[in-house]
Amino acid sequence: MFDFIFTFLGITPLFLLKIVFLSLFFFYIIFSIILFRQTKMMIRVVEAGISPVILTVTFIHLLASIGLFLFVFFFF
Amino acid sequence: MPEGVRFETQEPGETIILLLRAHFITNFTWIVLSIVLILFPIFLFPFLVTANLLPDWIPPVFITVLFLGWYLITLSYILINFLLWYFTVSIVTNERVIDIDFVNILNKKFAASRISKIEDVTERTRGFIRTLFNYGDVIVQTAGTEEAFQFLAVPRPVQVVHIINQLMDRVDEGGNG
Repeated sequence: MFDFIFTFLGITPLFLLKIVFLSLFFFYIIFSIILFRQTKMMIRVVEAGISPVILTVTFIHLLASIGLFLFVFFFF
Repeated sequence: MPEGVRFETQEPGETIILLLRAHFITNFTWIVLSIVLILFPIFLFPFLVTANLLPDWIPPVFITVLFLGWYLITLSYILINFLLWYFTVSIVTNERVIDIDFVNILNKKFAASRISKIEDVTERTRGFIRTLFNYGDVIVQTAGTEEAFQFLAVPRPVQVVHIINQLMDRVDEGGNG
């Protein structure tokens, strides 16, 4: 059944999986950007000693999500 | 008196006397869940591979992506819970009480009131865990129709009430004298 659909559409299951992953990680990047922006806002509201550390961690999280998207795009 | 802490609407000459956030023990649930989320793939992925549960057409890179994605989502879960705990604070200054609530990552509630407007301060410690770790809610009732401030699950609530009462007395004396 699935083989027929994949043959009919001219795509492989792997390609479909790649599209699903890319879509998910694309939305995850948007979420990471929102998280980073909100953290910046939170740090403005209450400034504390560890604020730069928190901001750095959220930035690393954003970079990691972009990295994962690119990894799927090029290597999957 | 907390050092190195400032808040957005801090006025010149305004000193932070108390910076309150929920007791660390309130993070217990999400910390335990995070540990489970961290450990889960270490056992699951080798099992999936050794038990040959994945279809043949799935390449090894799929496991890598799943593994990295899992940890990325776990990191965001930890980050969000930590941020909500760390930045949801109640501040008592020499002039005002301030309540900053982050309901979720997108919603912030900010409330402030002058010490002179405070009418009543009460504390509520209920239950075994709260009594054991000495934390509870402090409710600050202000004059008029303003909503009461609720400092939820803060450590040493009796001491907090005592400090706010002292500040109220000082403001009253300043106003009368």
